Amino acid sequence: MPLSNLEIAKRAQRIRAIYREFLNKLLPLRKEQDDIFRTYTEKLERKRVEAIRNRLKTE
Amino acid sequence: MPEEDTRTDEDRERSEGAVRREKPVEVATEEGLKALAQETSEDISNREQDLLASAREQQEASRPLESGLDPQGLARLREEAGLGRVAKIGEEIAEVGSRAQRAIGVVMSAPSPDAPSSLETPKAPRVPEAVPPAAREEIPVPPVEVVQSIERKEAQEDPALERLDRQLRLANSVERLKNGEELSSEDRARLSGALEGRGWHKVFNNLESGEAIVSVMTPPGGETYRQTPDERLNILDRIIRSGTLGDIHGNVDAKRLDKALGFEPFGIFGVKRFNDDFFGPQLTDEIIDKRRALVSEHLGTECTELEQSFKDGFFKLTKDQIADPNMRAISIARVGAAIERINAELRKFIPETIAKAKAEILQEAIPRATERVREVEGRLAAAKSPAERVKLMEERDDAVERRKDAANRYLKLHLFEPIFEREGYELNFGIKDIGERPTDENGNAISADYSHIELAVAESLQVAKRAREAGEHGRAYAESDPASIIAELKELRDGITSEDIIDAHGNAYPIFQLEADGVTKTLNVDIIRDLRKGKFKVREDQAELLGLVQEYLRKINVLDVVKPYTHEEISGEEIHSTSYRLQHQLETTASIAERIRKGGALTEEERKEAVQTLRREGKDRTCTSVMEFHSRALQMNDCAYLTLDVLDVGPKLIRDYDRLLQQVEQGNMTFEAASMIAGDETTRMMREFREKITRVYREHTGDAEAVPAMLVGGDEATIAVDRSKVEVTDALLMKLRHATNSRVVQTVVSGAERLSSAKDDELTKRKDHLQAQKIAEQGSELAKTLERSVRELRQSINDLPKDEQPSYEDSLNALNVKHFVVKQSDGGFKLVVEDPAERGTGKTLPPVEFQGVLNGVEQLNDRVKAVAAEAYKKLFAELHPDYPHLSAEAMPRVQRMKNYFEKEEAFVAYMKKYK
Repeated sequence: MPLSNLEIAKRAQRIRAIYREFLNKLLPLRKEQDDIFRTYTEKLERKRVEAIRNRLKTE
Repeated sequence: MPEEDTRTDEDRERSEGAVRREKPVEVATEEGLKALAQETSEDISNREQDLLASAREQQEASRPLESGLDPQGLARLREEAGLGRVAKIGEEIAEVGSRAQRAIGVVMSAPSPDAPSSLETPKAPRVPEAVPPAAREEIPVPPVEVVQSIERKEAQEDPALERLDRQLRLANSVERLKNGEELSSEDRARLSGALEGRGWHKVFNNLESGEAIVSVMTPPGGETYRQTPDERLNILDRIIRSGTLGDIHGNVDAKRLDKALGFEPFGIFGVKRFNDDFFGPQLTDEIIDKRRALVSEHLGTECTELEQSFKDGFFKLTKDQIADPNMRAISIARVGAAIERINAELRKFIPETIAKAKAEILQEAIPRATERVREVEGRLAAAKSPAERVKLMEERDDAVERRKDAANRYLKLHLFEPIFEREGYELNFGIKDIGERPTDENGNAISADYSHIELAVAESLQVAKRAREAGEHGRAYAESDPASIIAELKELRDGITSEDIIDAHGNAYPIFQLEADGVTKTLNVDIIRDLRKGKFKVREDQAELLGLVQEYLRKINVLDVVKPYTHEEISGEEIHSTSYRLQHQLETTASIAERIRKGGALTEEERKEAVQTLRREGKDRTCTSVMEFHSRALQMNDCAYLTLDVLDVGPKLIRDYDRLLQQVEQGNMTFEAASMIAGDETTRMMREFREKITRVYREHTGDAEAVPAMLVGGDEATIAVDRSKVEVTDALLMKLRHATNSRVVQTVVSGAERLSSAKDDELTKRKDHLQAQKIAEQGSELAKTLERSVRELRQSINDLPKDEQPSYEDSLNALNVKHFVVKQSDGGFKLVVEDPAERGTGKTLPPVEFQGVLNGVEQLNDRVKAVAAEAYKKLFAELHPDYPHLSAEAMPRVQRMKNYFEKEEAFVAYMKKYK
């Protein structure tokens, strides 16, 4: 039996909700992961800047 | 931090993900539904793969930085950054993804419920859906009645109009209070709220020694956010190809669109950017309200709320909560946990708002504008008279423009998204105990002195900033903080050994300027100005140096607090231009407000005082309050708005901080003292500026007592002048320009020019009133563009050989742009300049087109640069044999030094380093 328009709309809405929920879980994880790498890169970069600063000082 | 792109590919991946996410269109058939399920399922696995790929890529990207580090140090850094968690995140996302996939399967395989029993098929409600770009159809155009109802809604819901309305209602209540009329309960609530809500009253009235203040801070607008051009181009390209925006940006490639859009990834979290570029006033207000509500809700359970503004908030911890060390640790931890909860909520809320904003643009703003274009075109086709046709054409252009604006906002939202995902929109907090109230020489507390609270507020904000820099949510003040701030600054400054920094065009800017004392060297104001706006672009090899300068700038900003009073006023001196002290104001205002709220009796004197308080601006009692400005301006039928905006208030303020911090470093001042007086110089300067405006206005009107209707802003002021009573001449504008040394822009709302019917006159009037202020902003932006060009030109001329300079200086002077004002006229902006033949008399020339002048300056600059390049080449050829280490790039500086040193020997000494 074909789905009624109402049923199609309902299902579409549910799929959208599932997707939204998925994003709600994914985005914080994604951010967490990026934060970890950003912190890490920044720490590395800071080390590098320190080295440059030392080099500038000695020059 | 160096602005390098190490993540291009990842950014590209992400931006694709971001575009894939938002595809509102109707799903009306089973085919459509299946396509949706299929696409969503693919999206989910793509996003999942995205995340894993991004982890791999970021790992790869950090490799070059790791080289040369000892394995032990590396392991420690990895542990500190939490790299071990990455594998766990991978597992978690796999689980979340497969759960979502299963859920979609369940929805699709559910048996069909019985067909509807009634014969009528229910109409499918419009649900915005995610479907592939190919399936997207033309944007639906709602019927005219919908458009009209939207416009009505817009009028009701425009927060700027609503705020204006609130001010006007307050003005009415004040009028009733003044006349001694009966006050309604709304009047009472409104008046007492307005009296109590004045700057920091609750902070001063509700905090005492032994308690602690908790300051909550939103991300500052002026920070650096990364976005590579590649990321932007990819996002734009996606949207263009998807056809979402129909033919609005039909025949354009991503590069051109990017240029046209001029999207600046810097400072995207400022309220103004939220408003203008991304969310519009309505949703921006929603974000602010939501943040406020979240802060009240979560932090309010941990401590007592004092006040919240649109950007920060103050709370207090009681003695019970902080006296005992254990309780103290717990209280601080609980504040931290509350902030974390708030940030988690914001992390969910902002993406929802982004989605809402996008949907609003696609479903309302663009269709509305499209409908308007069609409607005007229809009328245009039928129009006969040339005058009518011209008017309609203008209307059509206007509608097309609005449609484009909406589309641009949509694009900007997409550009905003990945930055938000990377950076988050996070609040920070700082906690500081309130010290003892200052005492006199006999050891008695001075009751009129509130500087112990002032200091705690400043310090709590400082630690909030420090926490932000360190990537933490917040922290409590530590005794060692000031010393480490000073030490870090000194180290940074000493680390910047290069004298100049070279921008992308090859112009060399001295980084520091030596002050008159011969010791203090403060950051160059030109650099500060452009860095704050994210406009300072440097040559590639200067990126590391720029990183250091940026870090330095960020650090000196630690002193930044926007206080409603100067330190002197807070410590008990009379408030500027009045004969009473802060204590009197705090106490009487509190008592009057209390009685107004409860319906108690007020004496004639008290009523007068309350009215006067509300009609005058809190931070400058010589000026009118916001309420008074709006209410008076709206009573004018033919109103000119003169907006004056002081040049470089922000950059100079920052330079003051730099100077103060170095005073501390040199042992001439304590850090506490610097914290309390920071910004006072600017406050005084701004008060002087407003006094000058009032003086010129009084001279012009011949009324020595007149108080102009003035809207007081941070670094600007707008006065509304009733043209039916006061003539606004170009000479007046020029006089204001000279007296205040500010940027002057005139906009106009003329009653005679308005054609609207009597019924909606009031609404139109209010809209125009707000619009005039928006237009003034545009005029001011134009003025800034011209100033920048003139500055560049002047710099280029300075870098010419000395004997070449005079003729170009003459050309610059002939352009006559030293003092100018901008004037709204015939739908555009015109420039008014002094009459060079009668300089100093205030006589002006007839207004000229703005663009023409700007072009003139730019052309001259090009010419000067070409001449300079030739001269450098010649000089280089001359010097190089003697100075083998001289490079062609150093020539602008060498030329400048050659100009600078009067004596040949001095120049030779300078050139030694190139020998």
